[in-house]
Amino acid sequence: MTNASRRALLGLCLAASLAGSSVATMGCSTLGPKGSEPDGLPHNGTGPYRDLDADETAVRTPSGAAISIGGTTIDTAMVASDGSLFYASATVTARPMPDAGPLDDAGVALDAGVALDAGTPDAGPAVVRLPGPDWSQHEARSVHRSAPRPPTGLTYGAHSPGFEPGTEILTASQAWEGSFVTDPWALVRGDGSVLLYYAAEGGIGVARASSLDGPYETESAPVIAAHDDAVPRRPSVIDTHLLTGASHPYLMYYEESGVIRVAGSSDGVAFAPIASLTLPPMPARDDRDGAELAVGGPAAIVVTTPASRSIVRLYYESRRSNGNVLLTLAASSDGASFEAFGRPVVEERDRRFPSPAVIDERISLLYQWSPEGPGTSEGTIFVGVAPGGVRLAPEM
Amino acid sequence: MHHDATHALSVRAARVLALAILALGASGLSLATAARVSAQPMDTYGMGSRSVAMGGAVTADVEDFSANYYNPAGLARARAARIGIGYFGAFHEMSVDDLDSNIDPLRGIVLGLVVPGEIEGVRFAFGLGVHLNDDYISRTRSLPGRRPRWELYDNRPRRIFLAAHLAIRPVEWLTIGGGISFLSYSTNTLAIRGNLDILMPERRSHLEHEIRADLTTIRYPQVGVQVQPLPELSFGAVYRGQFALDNKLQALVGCEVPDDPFCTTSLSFTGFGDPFPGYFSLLSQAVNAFVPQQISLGGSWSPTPDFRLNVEVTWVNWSAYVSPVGRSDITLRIAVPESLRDMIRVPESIMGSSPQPALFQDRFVPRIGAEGVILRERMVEMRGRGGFFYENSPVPNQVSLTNLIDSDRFVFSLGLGLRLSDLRPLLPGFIQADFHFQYSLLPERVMTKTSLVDPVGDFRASGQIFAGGATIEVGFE
Repeated sequence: MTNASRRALLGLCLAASLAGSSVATMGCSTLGPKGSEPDGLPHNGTGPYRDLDADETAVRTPSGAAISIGGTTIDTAMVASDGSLFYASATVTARPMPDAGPLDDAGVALDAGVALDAGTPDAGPAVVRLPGPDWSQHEARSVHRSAPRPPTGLTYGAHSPGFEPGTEILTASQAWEGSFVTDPWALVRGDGSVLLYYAAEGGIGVARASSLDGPYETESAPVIAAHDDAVPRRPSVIDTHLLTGASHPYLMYYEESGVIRVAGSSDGVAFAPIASLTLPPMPARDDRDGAELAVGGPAAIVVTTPASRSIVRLYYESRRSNGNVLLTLAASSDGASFEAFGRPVVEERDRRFPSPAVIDERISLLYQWSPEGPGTSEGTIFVGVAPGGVRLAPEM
Repeated sequence: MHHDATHALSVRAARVLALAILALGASGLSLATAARVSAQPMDTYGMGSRSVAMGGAVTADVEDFSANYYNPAGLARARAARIGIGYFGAFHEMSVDDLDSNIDPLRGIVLGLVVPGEIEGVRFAFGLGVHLNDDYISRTRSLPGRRPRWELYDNRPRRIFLAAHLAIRPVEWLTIGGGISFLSYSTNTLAIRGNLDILMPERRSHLEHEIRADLTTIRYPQVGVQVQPLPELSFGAVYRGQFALDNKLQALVGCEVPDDPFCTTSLSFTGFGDPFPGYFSLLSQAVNAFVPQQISLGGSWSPTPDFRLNVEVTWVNWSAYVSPVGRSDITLRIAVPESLRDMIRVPESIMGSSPQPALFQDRFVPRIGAEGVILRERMVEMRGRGGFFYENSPVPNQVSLTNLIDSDRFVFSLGLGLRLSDLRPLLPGFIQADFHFQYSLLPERVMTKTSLVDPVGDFRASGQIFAGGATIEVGFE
């Protein structure tokens, strides 16, 4: 319909409407053009994160994974500021049999977070098995780095969200580390030097390198040591110079005994524990969510909002009484007192070890361990994007 | 003789009174009947090229058909019957966080007429003004409550406007006018029926939908006065009534009572054995567009016959604004068979929304406009015009649940008028062509949220609007 004829029809409809004639207006059932939609709306990193597909990550097996290596289980991963992926992985030594029965080592203290004590003093401990690899079936874990791929054909971002298998950069070498290193977290400083935090049997350590390419030299002692039965895990360190009111130039968030703790440092190497974070339990949406028993797996990132204020987004696991894990978020302006989001940022209930990366003010990625997918031994790393309507590759 | 004169005077007075009652009564009557009416495009973009070019500062100085919006009292100043028609367009470049908000352009016809007359020496005039958009009679958008939207520009102007006014000039220095403006709005019902396949919804579902929109008119009053104590000096005042568009959207999927023989929206879920019924109801009631009551006071000074300067200020009662985030009630019922209840979970209740206070603030809009003769020949006169007005945003910082986007607005306008007169015997009157260009600058505004985990978060908004148009009027003296 041309504008002229549409206008004429609208005029007739208006006249009929003014005359109050419902019969005459019956003929006016014409629809105007569909209204335009904005190119994008503001988003604050609260999800829900949509898993990228194979076209977006260029990883086909399993489809849409951020990285996949045959015969190898990927543990935790994080993306450094240059787009490199740091991850811990181990080769499978023996595949668990389907009829092997329940595992009896689910509660080993060496890998905090795998299992939780959901029991009561009267009833005795009842171990809640959380999703996660069985590391007793693997070689020792080590840390790898995978360089970023060029963003061929991508609509957003400087680097591809998918990665090729990387090279090993860190293995257990110090006595306190025991047999493995895992949970890498790379912090690139202004001069290009790198502090690589990681977890091992004796606590959390740091390795230094003059550049992302290494070599990485570890310290002879952990920066946060295990004590009694508590083994610190999953370090995440931020540079606080953009924050208002931060107590230290560097803050480390880590998991210990089912809570998230924060430690401070003036040089990024020597850390002193400050406190445990006060995070209200995330309520269940329905009976599938269960109740929160513990939190862990923190991963923090400093972002600057469109209002030019810098805040810390802390993604973490809410571990539930029925064995599910919900990934959620809290935020802070000083790095110490956090406001909890109170809802999951990922729909799935079996994702773990979140790690954020920011593409711009609106678009963020969340790398997560997932047990899904053929071709993986016991899970690999997937990556989600928020807002979910954003595609990182051109429409086919 | 004295008796006749008294009688003649009383008859004249009665007729004047009758005209005054007609002029004012229409608006008085409409005050009682116009509880709910709709937004209008003229509040944002103006009406008629001459008036827009002068920044809209014409409350004390208008006599063409745009008086139907700016001040109906000006109709009685017209000495010739005038018929005008014009075309207008506005194009938006609005962005949020540097992303284009894609506000649709607004284009349409403006037209109107002014028919003056005289009864017993008392001049009066009837006026009609129409704004007819190209694309819509009325557009309704029901957006999620938290979704950011340019509140004053996205949907509000997309209405038809029609105004009918009557004005009288009981004495040479005074004109009074009033009347009713009409706008269109709609009530919409969406009904969906059919089969929805759970396993392959896109390929094996068969759904039909029906949209029913009832177009209704709504009315609001407008009354104005112009006082001209000296030939070179004029003052004007106008009152425009408040109105709000009550937008009701109802969506029905399935039958509330299964197997209801009168239900035409049956919905079945298939793909898992025997089909089972479902029912979804959404009732959304919100104020889709609101225009606050306004009072404009203006003055016009013409120190020479070739130059005119207009100033005015408008009070806009935005504090009465009703939030567009309205009430919504959602019902979902699916009779899931026992065997599928582990796979298909139906929430016990779905939380709707409740109105959030908008907390808008009143504003005063200063306007200034000028007009000068550029060229005057025997049959031709060309006038140049310019204007400016400033609107501070009535929208408060969006710190919490709502995300109504707005910014201050600086509006600059330019125009040109060409008048051909002494056209007899071709035309016993004149032809006037007016053109205008209007530029609006909406400087960047930053909204900072109280909550650090607000899903929308902080945002920046800014924009520009380019508008223009032309009007041709023919006057019959």
